[in-house]
Amino acid sequence: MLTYVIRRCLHLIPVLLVVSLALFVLLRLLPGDPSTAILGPEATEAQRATLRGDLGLDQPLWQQYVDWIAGLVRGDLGQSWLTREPVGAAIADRLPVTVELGVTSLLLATVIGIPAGILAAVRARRRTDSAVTGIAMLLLSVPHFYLATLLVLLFAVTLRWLPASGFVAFTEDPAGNLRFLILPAVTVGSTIVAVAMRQTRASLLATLGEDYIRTAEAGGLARRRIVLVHAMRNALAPVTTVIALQVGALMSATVITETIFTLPGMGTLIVNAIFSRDMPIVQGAVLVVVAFVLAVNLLTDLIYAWLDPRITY
Amino acid sequence: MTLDLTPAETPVPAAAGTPGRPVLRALLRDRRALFSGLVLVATIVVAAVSPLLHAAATAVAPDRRLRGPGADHLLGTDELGRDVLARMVQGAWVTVQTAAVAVGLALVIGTLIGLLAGYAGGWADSLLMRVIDGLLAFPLLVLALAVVAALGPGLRNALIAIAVIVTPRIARVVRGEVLSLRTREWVAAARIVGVPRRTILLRHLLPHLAGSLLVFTALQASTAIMAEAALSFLGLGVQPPQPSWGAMVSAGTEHLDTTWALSVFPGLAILLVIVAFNLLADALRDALDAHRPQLRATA
Repeated sequence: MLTYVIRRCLHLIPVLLVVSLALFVLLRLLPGDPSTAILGPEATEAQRATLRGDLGLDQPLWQQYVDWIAGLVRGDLGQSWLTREPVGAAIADRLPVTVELGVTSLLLATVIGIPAGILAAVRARRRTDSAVTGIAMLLLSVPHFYLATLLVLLFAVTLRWLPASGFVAFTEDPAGNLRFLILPAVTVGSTIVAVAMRQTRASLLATLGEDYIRTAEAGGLARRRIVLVHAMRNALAPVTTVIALQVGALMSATVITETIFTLPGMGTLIVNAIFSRDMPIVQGAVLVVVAFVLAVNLLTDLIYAWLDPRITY
Repeated sequence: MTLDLTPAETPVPAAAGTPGRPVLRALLRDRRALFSGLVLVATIVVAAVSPLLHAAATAVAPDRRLRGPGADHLLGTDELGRDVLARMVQGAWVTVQTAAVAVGLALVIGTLIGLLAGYAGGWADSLLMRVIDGLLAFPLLVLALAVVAALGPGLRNALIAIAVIVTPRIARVVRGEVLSLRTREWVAAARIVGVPRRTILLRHLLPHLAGSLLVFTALQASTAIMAEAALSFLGLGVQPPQPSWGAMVSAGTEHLDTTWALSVFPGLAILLVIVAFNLLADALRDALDAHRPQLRATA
């Protein structure tokens, strides 16, 4: 097991290298001189040259990449071109909001998606099942920005129950924090609810067809107990894995949802940095998001391997 | 069975060409497939006639701005008094381009990369797969954003960004299929009798993975349309005044309290097309599963 863990961790290194190289090359493809973008068109050539020197933009590209990676290894993500704020600090400010949104959506999705999936499996090929399956299809298809718009239209504009945008930290006002988080969490969670429903349904249906379930039924156990205790115990493992593997999709959803509800998270950080062409922020924030997703995927695999005694490495 | 194999008679099992008809028949009986076919054909037709409504979509009229749905303007007017329905018709063109150009490009490049990686094996495969793993590690929209950040906003760059996010997904699926197919005896037989590698890849292997590739491409088309709409919603895709459904939803959010139709109808169009592609993929998968070509392959 230990060698497997080490091997999997080592496997991450080339992936992260490719990711960082791809990001770096991509963001240096930018047409034009970044110093013009930062200083505006009125700046003199001398001012621009000084700025390029300050930011290390006068170095050859490979040198800039090596410097960036060397900084990363030391935990230094560079500094914003516009505010000169360290990128690491900007990310540290925003990450908690994104994590809070992500965790809330995951919880919501699990609490709704798994029971709905159980219901669909127990009533397979009946009306409840087609309703759940249909809803799952709709949730998988609806773009997050559209769902967010509809939710705002209904709950903020028409019913006036919840705020349309804004944010307060949980530490300042827990109840207010929750009010600001409900609509974004429902939006981000929508896809995961659907995935949880479908996976629970499929996985439980497969388990219910197994011999040991028939044995339990023949033994006269209550149907409820068979489904919830005997079958679900085995059906849940793939569900957990599939939900955990959604973390990448979750980050995509978070980026756009944060922008709509103006939550000060990683998504707004990235989108605003793109608009202001603040490349060190885009580079650093995207890299952190990717590393986070890779870490969760790795952890999921390891936990799965650890939980399931049939898997040996 | 005789083993007198000349290249021309290599027993390549009947592949995609043969099951086409029963699969098509099964699709015609499937309500999901009919629904999605209807939606997709309608979208293409609407996109094709969109130039006819160009004048209505661009006519600015401050005196009739922000009207709700009514007799004059079926779906109302926007903040500049332009007809929402006419603008939606224009927007269909963007969606069709996304599905055709961006996904088409990704399909061609991704399939080639997947075929090469899967068949060549060795260091070429390892190298290509590391790059693909790296690209797949990005959350989809985050990668699209990074590409648009590099190239700048606009429809062409958004389409490139979408091709970049879809290509590695297709390459990965094709490679997986090729890995499992290339160990088959008929591939070995073809190789032994000296069929050129390109012929094996394109004429023998490709038809066999056409089915699953078709299903996967339909799913990717829905992803691509969602990504284009999201980029346009964020203001990084199609630029005003050219209309796109995503940008229309975004513009409408400013007027949700007065003219909800501005956001709701364009969004509904996006949802409909995405559902259509997803249902099409489901129906196709079921139809192909029921008519596996491999069954008759060994005959």
